[in-house]
Amino acid sequence: MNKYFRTVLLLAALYVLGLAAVFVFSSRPEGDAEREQDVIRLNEITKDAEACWDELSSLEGKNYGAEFVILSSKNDLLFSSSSEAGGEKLSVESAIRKRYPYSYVIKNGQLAGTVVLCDDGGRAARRMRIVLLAGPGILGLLLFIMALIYGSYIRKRIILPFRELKGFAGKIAEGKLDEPLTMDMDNIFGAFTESFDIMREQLAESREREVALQKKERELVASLSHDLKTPITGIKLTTELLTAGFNMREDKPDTDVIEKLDNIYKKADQIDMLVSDLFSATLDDLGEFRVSCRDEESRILSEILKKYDDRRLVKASAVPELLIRIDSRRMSQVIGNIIVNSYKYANTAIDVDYSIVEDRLLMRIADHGPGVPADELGLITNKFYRGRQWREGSEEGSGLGLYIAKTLMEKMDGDLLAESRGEGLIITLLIPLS
Amino acid sequence: MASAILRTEKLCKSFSNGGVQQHVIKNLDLEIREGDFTVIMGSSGSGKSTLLYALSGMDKPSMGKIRFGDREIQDYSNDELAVFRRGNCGFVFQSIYLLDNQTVLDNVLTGALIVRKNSPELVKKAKELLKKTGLTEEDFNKYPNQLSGGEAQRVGIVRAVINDPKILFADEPTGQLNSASGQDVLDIFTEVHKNGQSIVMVTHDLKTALRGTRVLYLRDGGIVGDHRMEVYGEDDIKERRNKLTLFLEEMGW
Repeated sequence: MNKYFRTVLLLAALYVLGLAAVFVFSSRPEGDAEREQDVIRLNEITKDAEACWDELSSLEGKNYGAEFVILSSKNDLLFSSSSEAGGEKLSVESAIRKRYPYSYVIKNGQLAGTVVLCDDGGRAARRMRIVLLAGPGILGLLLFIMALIYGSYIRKRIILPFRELKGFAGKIAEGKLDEPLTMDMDNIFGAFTESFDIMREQLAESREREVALQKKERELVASLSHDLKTPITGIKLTTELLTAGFNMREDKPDTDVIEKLDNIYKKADQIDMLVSDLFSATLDDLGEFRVSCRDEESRILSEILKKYDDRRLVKASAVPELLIRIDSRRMSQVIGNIIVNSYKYANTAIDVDYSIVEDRLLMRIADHGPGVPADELGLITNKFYRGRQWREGSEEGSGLGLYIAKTLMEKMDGDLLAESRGEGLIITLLIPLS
Repeated sequence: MASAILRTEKLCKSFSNGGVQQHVIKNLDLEIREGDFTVIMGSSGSGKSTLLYALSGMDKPSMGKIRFGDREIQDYSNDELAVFRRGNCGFVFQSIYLLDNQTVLDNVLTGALIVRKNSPELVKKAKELLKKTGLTEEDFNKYPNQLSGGEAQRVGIVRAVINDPKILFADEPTGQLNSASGQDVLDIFTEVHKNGQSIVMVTHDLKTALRGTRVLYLRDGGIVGDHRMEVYGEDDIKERRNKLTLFLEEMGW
């Protein structure tokens, strides 16, 4: 659009320049010709006046093509070619000032008077030319001004709304659906605008629905896969039992059946693994394990401990002051899970102390409960694993607490280790330093 | 091996910026050895100057320990720190901060007089040191505005070393000088170091860094590179330069 304005202005400038050029180049030579004409006339009049100096009235009736006056050497009016010309008092000086062409009349070698040509024909012609040029000039300029006004009208009413629509469409393409399209209803695109905005709202709504649907779907998969675990474990256990039973038959172990049972077990195990993958994948998708680490002061650990220790069982030593790189929300989850676990299975005092090993801060959380048998230690951080003696117990639990804690620690570039020496369970968190 | 004169343990320095904690120095463990000319390099914003100010007791660390000789200074109050700095640290800054209304000699002596009594020996020592830097007798009574940048920085160095500090700290001392007077000033640093002075200098200039015996590279508030340059002498300058360039390239300078 600016291009348009620039072009119009440029054309206008060219037009004015052209007019000026026409004026300059046409007036100058013509003016000179006019001047020459004046000189010829003047000479003619002067010659005639000299011839009949004593009878100047005889000049009356002669047409020289221009008005003139004849003055005496004392500036008295001797003759005027028209009655009006005598109206103004003319002298040689004022004639010179007015740039009238004039000539001296010499009689007997003496200055007798002056002929002054009043009719400034050249000037009149020039004035005429200006008028002639001014007509198209003003007309042309008016045209250009109209073009500019029309241009800005188009710009305001059509181009700008269009541009706004374009930006709006770009935003929608980027996925920014929450910015409404503002536009006054009285512009040409008012109706369009409204439908565009309705389209945006519809898009935003459908996307929201989609997200909700996806979440629901994932949750369904997660709970389904969780539910599947139980029957699969049943199948595996039963198969194991049957295999053992067939193996124990003294007379003749039925190798065919055992092989088939083995096959069932393997397949069940495969399903088990697939379901586990599915489950952790959906948990991941649900954002359960997303971490974003930042530099935090280490004292945040004692704050977290304090927050989760509502039975006031934790006895913590001082945290070494330094910067750790963690996701504080996730760290709370980890520590919370460990403390809740300890409450559930030990419910004794919990000792917490810290040490620095290379670029890790070690946080050792130890309780004095029954601990975990050595052969189960490696399993307690597995998904859905619950200690043997607790499986039939009344305590509720998903077997996910320590699994999630360990996964989160690993995601934070740290680790979670479990040990148990006779008494109590000791969880050590390896927390990365900044 | 020379003994450690300055040691930090998990040094942290944080600033609060509009409610957001900005951690500039993070868990920094560092040992400065006696007699070393330690150069601290790193891209801008890596925490070089912040580290220098924390090391020298100009600024208090947020967390961690600083052991200066056998003293831990991280918990000193501001007054204690000031007394401590006067006796142990010399400073050379990029902007030289001479007192405008005092002569060159007085500028040098002012700091020293707080520590010691005025004495003819002190004046003699100041004059000797000033002469060593290439200033003449007639310069001694000039005022700072009559000196060139290079000359003023020489006065700055003499003022910093007159108390025989344990460590001389310098923050881009040639940053505001043209290259010729910059080299002159660095020659003085080299001279001071040869006389056994421990120096810690922050710079981002390769030529300046070449003067050191050890270059630490700082990134994101931690030391990521430690380059030793024992070789010292004109013949090895090329090799020194090559090795240092290699080191810095590796650091992503």
